[in-house]
Amino acid sequence: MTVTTKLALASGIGVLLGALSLEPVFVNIDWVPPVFLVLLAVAAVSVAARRLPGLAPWTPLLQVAGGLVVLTALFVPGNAFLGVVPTWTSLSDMRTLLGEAGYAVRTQVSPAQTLDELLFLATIGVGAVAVAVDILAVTMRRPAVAGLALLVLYAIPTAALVQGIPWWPFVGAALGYLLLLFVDGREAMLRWGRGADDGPSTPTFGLLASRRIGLLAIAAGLVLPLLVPSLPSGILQTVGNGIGEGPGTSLNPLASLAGDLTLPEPVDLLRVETNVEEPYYLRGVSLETYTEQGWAPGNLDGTFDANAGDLPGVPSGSPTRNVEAQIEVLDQDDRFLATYYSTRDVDSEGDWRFDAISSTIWSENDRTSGLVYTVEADEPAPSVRDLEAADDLDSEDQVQRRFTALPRLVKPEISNLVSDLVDGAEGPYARTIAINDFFTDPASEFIYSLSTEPGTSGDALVDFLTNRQGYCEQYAAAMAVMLRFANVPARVVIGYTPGKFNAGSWTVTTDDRHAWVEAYFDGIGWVPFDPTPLGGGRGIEPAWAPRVDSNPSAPTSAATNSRASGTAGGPGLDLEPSLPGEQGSAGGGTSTGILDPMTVLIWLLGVLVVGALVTPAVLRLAMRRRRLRTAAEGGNPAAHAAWDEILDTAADLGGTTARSETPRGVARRVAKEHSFDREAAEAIRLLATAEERARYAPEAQASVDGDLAAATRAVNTVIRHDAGRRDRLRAAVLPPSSVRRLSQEARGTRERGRARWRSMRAPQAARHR
Amino acid sequence: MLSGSAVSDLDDPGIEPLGLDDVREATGRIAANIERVIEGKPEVVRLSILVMLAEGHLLIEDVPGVGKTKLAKALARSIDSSVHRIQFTPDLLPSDVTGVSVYNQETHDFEFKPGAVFANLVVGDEINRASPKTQSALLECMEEQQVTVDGTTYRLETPFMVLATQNPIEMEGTYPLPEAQRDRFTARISMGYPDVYAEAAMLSAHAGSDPLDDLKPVSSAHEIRGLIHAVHAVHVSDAVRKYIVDVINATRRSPDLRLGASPRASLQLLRVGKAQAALSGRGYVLPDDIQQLAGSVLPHRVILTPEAQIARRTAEQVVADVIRTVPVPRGTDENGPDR
Repeated sequence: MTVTTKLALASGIGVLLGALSLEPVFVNIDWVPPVFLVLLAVAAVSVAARRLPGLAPWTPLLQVAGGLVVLTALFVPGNAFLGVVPTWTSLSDMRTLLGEAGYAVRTQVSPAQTLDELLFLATIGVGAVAVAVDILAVTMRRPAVAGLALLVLYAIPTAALVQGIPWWPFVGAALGYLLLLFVDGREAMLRWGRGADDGPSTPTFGLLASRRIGLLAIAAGLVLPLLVPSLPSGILQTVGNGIGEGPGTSLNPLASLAGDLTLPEPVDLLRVETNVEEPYYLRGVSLETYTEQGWAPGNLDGTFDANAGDLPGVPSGSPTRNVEAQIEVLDQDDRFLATYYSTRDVDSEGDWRFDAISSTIWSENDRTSGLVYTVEADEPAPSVRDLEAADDLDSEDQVQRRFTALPRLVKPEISNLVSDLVDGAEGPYARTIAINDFFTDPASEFIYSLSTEPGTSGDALVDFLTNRQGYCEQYAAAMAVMLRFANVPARVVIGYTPGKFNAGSWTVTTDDRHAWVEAYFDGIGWVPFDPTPLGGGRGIEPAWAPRVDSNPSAPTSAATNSRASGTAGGPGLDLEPSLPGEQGSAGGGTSTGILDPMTVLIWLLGVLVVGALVTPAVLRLAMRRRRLRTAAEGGNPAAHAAWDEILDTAADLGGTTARSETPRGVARRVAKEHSFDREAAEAIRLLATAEERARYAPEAQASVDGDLAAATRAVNTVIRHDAGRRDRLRAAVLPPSSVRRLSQEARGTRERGRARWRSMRAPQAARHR
Repeated sequence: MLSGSAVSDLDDPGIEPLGLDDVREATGRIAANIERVIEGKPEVVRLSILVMLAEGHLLIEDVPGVGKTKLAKALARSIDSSVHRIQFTPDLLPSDVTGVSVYNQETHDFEFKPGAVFANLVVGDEINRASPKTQSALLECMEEQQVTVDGTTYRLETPFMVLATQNPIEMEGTYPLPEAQRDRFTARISMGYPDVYAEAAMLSAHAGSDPLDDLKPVSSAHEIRGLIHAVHAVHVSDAVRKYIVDVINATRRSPDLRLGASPRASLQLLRVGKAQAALSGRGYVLPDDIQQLAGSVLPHRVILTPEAQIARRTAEQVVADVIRTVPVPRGTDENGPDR
């Protein structure tokens, strides 16, 4: 087996090991066969292409073609020629699939269902990584750099999983990388200082040591993070703003909310036993900042230990309801603890922190998975009279300033609407109710639908208020913005509706995920309002926020409306996935599609262009390495390799060598042009002599004494040193020698193809005659 | 003086094999000797020795008084061998060159009197002054290295070299060599004027006596045969052979030339190439040798087109252009230039 073959196989296996990181991303292992097949195709093409003469420079292209065939056969065989050969139709099928994948990425929570489109995406990704690793590790012989490509694979679960990653994807990726390094290192070590027949190749001490070091490093990478104490910090600031920027879905509470609501089958999240008959919503996290991009969590304070008890609750004096509950976490894995309003005390395992400003209990390191915890809360139960009595906060008040902050420019549509609504309303409560009524009044014709209508205003919020179709996310976001505009401190809360009561406990499922609004009233505190027309009796109508549509007929109509377009599933939920292009969003959920077909096309084009641009440079580097290696081996090939390298270096740096120039002629000219010192002149003379002897002398006199590789390096260094900066840059980026070689290669291939075509046609023509 | 019966050839087992170092040493010796007379012209001296070792003939063409004849004589005298000098005049007869059968009264038989051409080195002065008939008599000897008189063929001894001089101006009453006959000369050189210092040195050295008179032979015909033998052994790779053919072919295709170089030119180019390689102590010919020598070996054989003549191009320029455009073959692996 040649070195190239070994490296190509090692690359394939390395990527396969790296692809293990996909395991936690999907719910089952259906992703393995397609990924394996595409890797097999890429590796096989790599080995084959490098063995066949003339094909080697085209390896990446052939690999892409091979991968495309596998993808076609696996995913879109319907419109393909013979089920494997891509056609325009099958390619556009792929595009559609990619589009659907983009939608799935946004909506699926991890672990994701192994939907066809997601498998397709995963397979393309792994295939692309495999090609990249092959170029880096085999063509360029830079396996160390190939680690970057493997890192991409490892980055997928890192980005996609909220709940942290199991340890073994890391081990897989690291071992794959190590394997690649090992194979290359082994080849280099065994080749070094040895002849071809120096006996069996055995790993040397150095190799064993390096292997041990590598394994130790992986082990350390696994263990050390466990020992490092983590600091409380505001990491969520960055996390929350990352809407639509990464491939992951669940780091953004709103995006994960949408994903949960669109699950084909609801997943049980929590089981709650409580002392009250009608528990109110469970709070998760509140979103404090509003920008044009939507709602995002504020910075969370991690100094207050939630388990320590006596959490700051509602301001004293206002009526409350005591709630005690034991919550068992089923399939939830979150960094926010679902609790009731004004939780006074929490008793749970793990390091949970209380952020007083957002009233959120959260943890940086721990997850809710598997927790059983108790909550004791004093739920606010303000009387309408108290609320009506509440005055506006002082404009300098912290809460007032913080929770009425809006982007400088609010669309006139919104400001006009709010002004109309609150016209004549006295006091913050009256204004709040006015806005709440706007959403709950059937006359406003709001429709609950998980798919939103695309709008034309360019502002998601305005679109929602115009089309009046959306789900809790849009309702809550819109109402909170309107409240803020009406000078009522407000924020969006994400949590759960109470769920279904069954055999003494409440079961909260993914369908119960919900978003609503809280408004702050002086002396009372944060009071929840829910503008969303929830069907199926899931919504709760507190005494202070009566719904205008609370007569029996109204909600049904809303629910029916939504069901009319829905397929099946949860109460009042429209589960039909909409096409990503139509997926508008409102309020908080400005989730721009990261994978719509256009973006993918542009990216692919970009990758192709960049690939085409770097190909000459990559080939040049590979060529130089190969020649220097050959030059060190001796014999005529060494002389030729060394000489060609000199010629190409000179050509790359702007020199031109006429084809009528003899080696010593070139040596003389180059030495003069670049004002060589004696050493370099000696070196280039040695190379020229070696070359002319290799070319023209009888075999007995062909060899020269001297280190050709060293001489080549010396001459190259002097030439490069002497060249101008622009020439050096060009030589690094777009080496002319490589460009010339590529075009020659292309011409040769074309001519060979023509010759073959002619030879194929010749017998036919004869037959016709 | 050798008669036709005393034929000697290179295959003579008596020739001692000479190494490349011997070639260098011997030619260096000869060159140094000649340069005592011809000062400041090492290239010309070197080329004349090359031509001798390549078993060729040399045409020296230049204005009068620059030392054409002196060079020929110096070379001839440096080698301890037979030397004849023919002063070509319009009334010179072919038999003066080749020899004549004379009736011997005593033996009652015709006896062959060898002509001037029977020597190792023949200096033909002002060859263009002889009648074409006489010229061709000499040229036949040059090519075939034999003389046929009255049906008897007499072989000439090796080394056999004709150094002819020709005066390009003062053409009145001359018969310029036709192209076909110029082709017989391996190389044409022109002496050129000596540089200032060389000329000054010449004045002081030659004022009292002619240094040519003091010139002693430093080599022998026998040694020259050995040198020629060594030149024969020089390796020529397929690549270089192909290169020579390419160059010659290019002259035939050149738009500036009415007549390109002949196959004989290829052969002679190869021979001087080998001689030059041996002179440099190298056992193989390089394209460099060919490039360097083409300017002396090719120009006198080609004929410019009228257009090129009108454009005042010279044959030397055209040959130089050809050398600049013909790609050097890149190796013995026959993969062409795109290895």
